[in-house]
Amino acid sequence: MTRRKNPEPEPSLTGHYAGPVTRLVSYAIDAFLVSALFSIVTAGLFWLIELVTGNNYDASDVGGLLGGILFLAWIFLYFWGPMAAWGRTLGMTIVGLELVRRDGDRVGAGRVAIRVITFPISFLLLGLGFIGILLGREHRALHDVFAGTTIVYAWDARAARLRFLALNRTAR
Amino acid sequence: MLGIVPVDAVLRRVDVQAVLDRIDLQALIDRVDLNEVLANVDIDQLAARLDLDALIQRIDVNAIVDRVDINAVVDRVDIEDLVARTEIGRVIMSSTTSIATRTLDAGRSTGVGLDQFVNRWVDRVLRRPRGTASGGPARLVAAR
Repeated sequence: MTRRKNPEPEPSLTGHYAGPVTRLVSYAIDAFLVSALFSIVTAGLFWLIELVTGNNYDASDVGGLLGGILFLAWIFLYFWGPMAAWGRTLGMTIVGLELVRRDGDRVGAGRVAIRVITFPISFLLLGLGFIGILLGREHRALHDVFAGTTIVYAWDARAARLRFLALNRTAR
Repeated sequence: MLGIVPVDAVLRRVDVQAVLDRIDLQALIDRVDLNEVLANVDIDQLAARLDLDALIQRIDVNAIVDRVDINAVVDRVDIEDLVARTEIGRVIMSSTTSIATRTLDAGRSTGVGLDQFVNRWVDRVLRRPRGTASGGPARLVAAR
């Protein structure tokens, strides 16, 4: 079996249901970013407060419960904001995915909120909520079913294909 | 002799149309060897006498272009073949594409490839017949 070093982009897949690997990678990127950005933002806030008040603070001063609530609110905002505005999070943008309604129409802020709020249910059912991404024909997780959404490939595969063909011109 | 004949008066009384009607022009043309006539024509000299500039100026190029369906012409152009076979793509690439874009393209393409690999195995395990994948939302897939 031969492996291709440069996989040729397939233009016809734009708008098709995204598969499990790209969705997992997108989620991994978002999971990293949501934590990293929270740390950066809180560190920046503490620095500002210290600058204004002249006292030293750290995360333990906030309290576990309040810190947890703030983190959950941050997670909600991180996922809900960009998806409601542009249909994609930062991780989804990097991988080239977009959240749309099941019929392919643009998703609204309400549906995105339902999706983000019900996302933990897919985890709480021992991960069984994600099984649809792997086995379903439309690759929808349980939170997608709740919100009436689905995720599709949304990157400009045709432009990528042209770039690929131009790059590999001499190799042909 | 001819001097005393009133030629003008005679000609005025001739029914030219009737004369022409009696001539079988087709038979006349059939008797002419056009190839021989054309062989004697100096095309270069004829072309030299043509004022092409004046001719072109009389042509409304915009009107002709307006009647051309540019989209249909462009649709017939194989862009991918053009990019793959000419320097155009390479020139555009070198001026517009960064290493980050190329990396992103490769990463995304690899992701799609892995998706398809996993999907094929799932279809095989679930004994789904080939070619029954639903593709994507009808509105998005039909639009492409």
